Amino acid sequence: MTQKNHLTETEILQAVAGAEDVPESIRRHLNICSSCKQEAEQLRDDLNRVGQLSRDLAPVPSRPVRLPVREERLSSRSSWQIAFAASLATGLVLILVLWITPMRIPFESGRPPSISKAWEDDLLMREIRTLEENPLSPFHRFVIGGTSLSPGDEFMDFVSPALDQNVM
Amino acid sequence: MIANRKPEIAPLVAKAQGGDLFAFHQLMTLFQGEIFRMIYFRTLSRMDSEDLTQEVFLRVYENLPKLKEAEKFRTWIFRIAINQLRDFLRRKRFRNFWGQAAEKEPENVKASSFEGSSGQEALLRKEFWGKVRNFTQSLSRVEREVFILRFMDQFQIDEIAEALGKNESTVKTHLYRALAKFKKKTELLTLLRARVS
Repeated sequence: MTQKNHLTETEILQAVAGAEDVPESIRRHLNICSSCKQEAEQLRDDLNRVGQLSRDLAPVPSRPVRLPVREERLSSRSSWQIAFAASLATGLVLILVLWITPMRIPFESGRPPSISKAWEDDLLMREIRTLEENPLSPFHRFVIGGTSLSPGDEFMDFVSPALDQNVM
Repeated sequence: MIANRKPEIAPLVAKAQGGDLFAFHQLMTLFQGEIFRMIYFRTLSRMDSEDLTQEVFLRVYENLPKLKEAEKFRTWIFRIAINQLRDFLRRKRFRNFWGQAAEKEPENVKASSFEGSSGQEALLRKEFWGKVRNFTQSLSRVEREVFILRFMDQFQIDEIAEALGKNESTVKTHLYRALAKFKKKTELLTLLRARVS
């Protein structure tokens, strides 16, 4: 307290800010000194008004708080399911494509139709040339004893034995 | 011992911790306005306050099982909000530093914060928040936080100490300094007293 027995500024602030634990000496002084009491009450009123006005004049939220608890959980589960289904489908498509592709490659293999036709013609011509050179099947070639069309000596001897054999 | 002022909160918190979504939504309904205002007092932007309130409740939902004392829910949720605000203000300062934030003026000077108000009311709001902003900007960070918690959020000294993680005598020291500055802010005092007369 000051020499004039009034509260100091800090004591006034103490009386206002910590209303629940104001020292007994300050409390007693406020009971007997109207000047200090008025000063403390004025400050307390101002502070209460700040609080009241700040609550009254604060805007109100334009949208409620949304807590997508259920949706979040559901969405996280469904997104996991979607990801799993998508990867499964992709895998199946890949397997199907890889399985089909080797069967298609010799015939189409991405060639244009004209090239594919020419390739088939070429194969046919090779077969014709082979047949021209050797028209017999492997069995008939075995029977006649070789790849040549002319009969072998053994065959000819069988058909018409040599004269020397008759002489002996 | 800090206790929630609303007696029904602790049982609701316990139910929400047990996975009762209805109880959690009741808690949101009880605290949404208070948390929104608490954030608005510090950002003076309705849009930022809405976004941050949303973030606070998401954080609350994620961390509610970790709360050990259900009766301290109010202090706990304010502490989360204070931390969210710190992060937000830090990000904002960073953006301002790099010139990425287009607006420098807080939204309290914009009419968009007070949509739906009559012209006179909007003017009063603008004037009031402008003066509050001038005053709070004259305080240090801790002084400002302590002042707002005490007189605008209506916290007791022990609750402030717990929310800020400081001891009570430190809180009081900062509060006295803030009050000494408040007494000298005549323009704010004039406005407050004019509202009474």
